[in-house]
Amino acid sequence: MSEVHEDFDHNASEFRADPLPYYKQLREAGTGQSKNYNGLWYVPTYAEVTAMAHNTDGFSPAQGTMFPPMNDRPMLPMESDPPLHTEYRHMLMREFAPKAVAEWAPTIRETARSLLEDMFKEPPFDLGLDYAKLLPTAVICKMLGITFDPVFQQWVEDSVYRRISHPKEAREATDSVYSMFRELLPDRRANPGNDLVSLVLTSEIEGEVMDEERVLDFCFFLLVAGLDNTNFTIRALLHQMAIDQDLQKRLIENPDDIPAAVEESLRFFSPVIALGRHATQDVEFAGCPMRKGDAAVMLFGCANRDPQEFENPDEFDIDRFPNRHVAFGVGPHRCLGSNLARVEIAIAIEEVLKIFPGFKLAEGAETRYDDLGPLIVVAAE
Amino acid sequence: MPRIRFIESSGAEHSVEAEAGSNLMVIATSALIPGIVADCGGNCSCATCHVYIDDAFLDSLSEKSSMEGDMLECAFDPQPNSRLACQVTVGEDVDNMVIRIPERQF
Repeated sequence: MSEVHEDFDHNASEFRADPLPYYKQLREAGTGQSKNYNGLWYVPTYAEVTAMAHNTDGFSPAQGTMFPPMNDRPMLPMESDPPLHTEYRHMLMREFAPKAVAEWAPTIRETARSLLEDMFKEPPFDLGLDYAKLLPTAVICKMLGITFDPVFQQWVEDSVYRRISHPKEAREATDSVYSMFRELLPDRRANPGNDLVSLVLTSEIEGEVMDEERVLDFCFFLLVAGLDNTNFTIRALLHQMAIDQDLQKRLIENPDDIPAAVEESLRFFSPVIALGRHATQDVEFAGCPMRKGDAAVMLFGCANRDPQEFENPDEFDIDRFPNRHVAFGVGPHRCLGSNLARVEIAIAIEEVLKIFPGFKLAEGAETRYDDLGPLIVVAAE
Repeated sequence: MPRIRFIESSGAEHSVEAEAGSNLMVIATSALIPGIVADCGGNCSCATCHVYIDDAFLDSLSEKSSMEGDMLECAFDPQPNSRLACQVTVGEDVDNMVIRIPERQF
């Protein structure tokens, strides 16, 4: 066992503040076991992460993917195994597939513009807090058929990011999300519409509609899954464009390059740092003896900087080809909302560039990390 | 070994040698064919390895499952000759098969 793994904790603030030196050491050592979280295995290289993600027989997400867990309920559809998982994905895939997401693009653009207009009304403003943070929330609320409320964003951040530092508040935030949906379900059941909550309520899984608790698990995860990750990537790319004016100029002159910039941001900033699995049997993985029930975490951000897969991995290069990053994971459990995230990030950037070409960091703007959230603060001039 | 011709929507052509019995998505991604994104890495769960198959070869390929059919409906501009490359196994009788790549995957 290498020393680097033994003491490693993917939630430690020293690591979050400056992950690259850790990543290098972890990759060089390969998969190894930590003494934290009851002997959590860390899977750092691109090859190992993709191998584990594809091996759904050997490694299951159904017993939890986050360490420590967000709460005691499954995040669906992610935390389930085939054949149930296949049915869950099948239920939702039409709504998140490339074509369906493209149909949402005009709504996303309209939402982005209206948020920017509101932001202008109350200067000074912050593109991160007053725009990037609100866009994914406003969009998913429309898809769920619920009224947008900025408090949802707060609940999500508290649920995810304060679960270690403020477990009580985090738990309350999670409960608030569940209560909000629980109150909404009777009416939605009586008057189903063309929205994700209605879809989950009325779809048959294993031949029957799902019970209320499972429906709520879906509602919770559909709301929270894409909010802060998408927000973070929008902010991170805005930040990159603010500090790299050549990049910004290129994207203003060639908006067709924005999707490539989005992909590179996803690789470079990897908003989801880590997700885990449990071994379904005793197995040797990457030369490591794992026991049935052992937990292992795939370090997506680390894999995305693996020089074995990416030339000059620490360079932000939108011309990178191929760019087969694992920011959304890979394999059957790969992020269902990835197409939505891509479109949201691209539109968010396009709309800012129309209004603010040549934007820079505000005087005194700082970059900081807030609890577990990689929340970069970007202020606009 | 059979040769497969991948043609991008721009008309750019890539000819690739393929081993019989191998997976069409793996052939395409290994040869770095642009336009076949294959996000999920071959699990029939993302619809980003959508291709159009030469009609003459359609029947010689592994059959389309109902899941693949459903996923194809979620892709851009599906046609009767659409397949997801990750669900296609290449046989020996596919020499000179033309695979057309759609304009966009997502």
